[in-house]
Amino acid sequence: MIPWLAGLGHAWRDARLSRVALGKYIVLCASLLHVIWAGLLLVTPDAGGSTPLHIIVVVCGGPWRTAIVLTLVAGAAMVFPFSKYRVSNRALALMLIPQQTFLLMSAGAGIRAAMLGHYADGVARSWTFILSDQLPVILIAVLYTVAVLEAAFES
Amino acid sequence: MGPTEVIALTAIGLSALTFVATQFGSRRTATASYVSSLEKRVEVLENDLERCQERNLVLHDENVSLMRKLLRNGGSG
Repeated sequence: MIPWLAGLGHAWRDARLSRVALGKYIVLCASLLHVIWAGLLLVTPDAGGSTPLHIIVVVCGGPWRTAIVLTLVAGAAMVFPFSKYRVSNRALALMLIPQQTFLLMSAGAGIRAAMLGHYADGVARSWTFILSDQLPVILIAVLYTVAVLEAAFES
Repeated sequence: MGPTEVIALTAIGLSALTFVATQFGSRRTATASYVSSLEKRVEVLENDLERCQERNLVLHDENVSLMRKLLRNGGSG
């Protein structure tokens, strides 16, 4: 196996966000989601029409900027589980809260789409259909917020 | 203000609240944990000193230096 990959594996096994080990998987999940979204936006700007991404593209001002911002935000968040020393609450917030903001935006866009009965690109569906489709992003945003607070209040 | 702006601002507001909440967190940095452990150690030594005084034990110079050495080495001698 490639040495740096093995090293990364060891670092990941030792990484902990808080007492609950699930925290690091929530951050990993959100970071992977954002990096994959960034990749899809670079491949085709069509990806920016999806409901959770559309709002971020509008806020960032274009697919390229969105891809860069999402990659930076995911990178900053992934530094936290791998940080060798216990960091202060302010550093914790600076690493994780930008990602939480984008997750909450996507969650909000999903809830609004379900309330209106159509996706961001205008495709109309029943609210139950849209809600069940958007639920994973909404739940990630909620769990991420819980993980950030849990990490901050760990003594 | 459009709905997109409302959602974005709500998300930023919730994140700001989370930021404020994290600042009240009890998470300790490595330095804070070290200072806390030193404080505990000093408390133990102070209690020992009190007990010595209660029993009218005399602290000779060599015992004081031994105590300082213990404190320096984190109680390991």
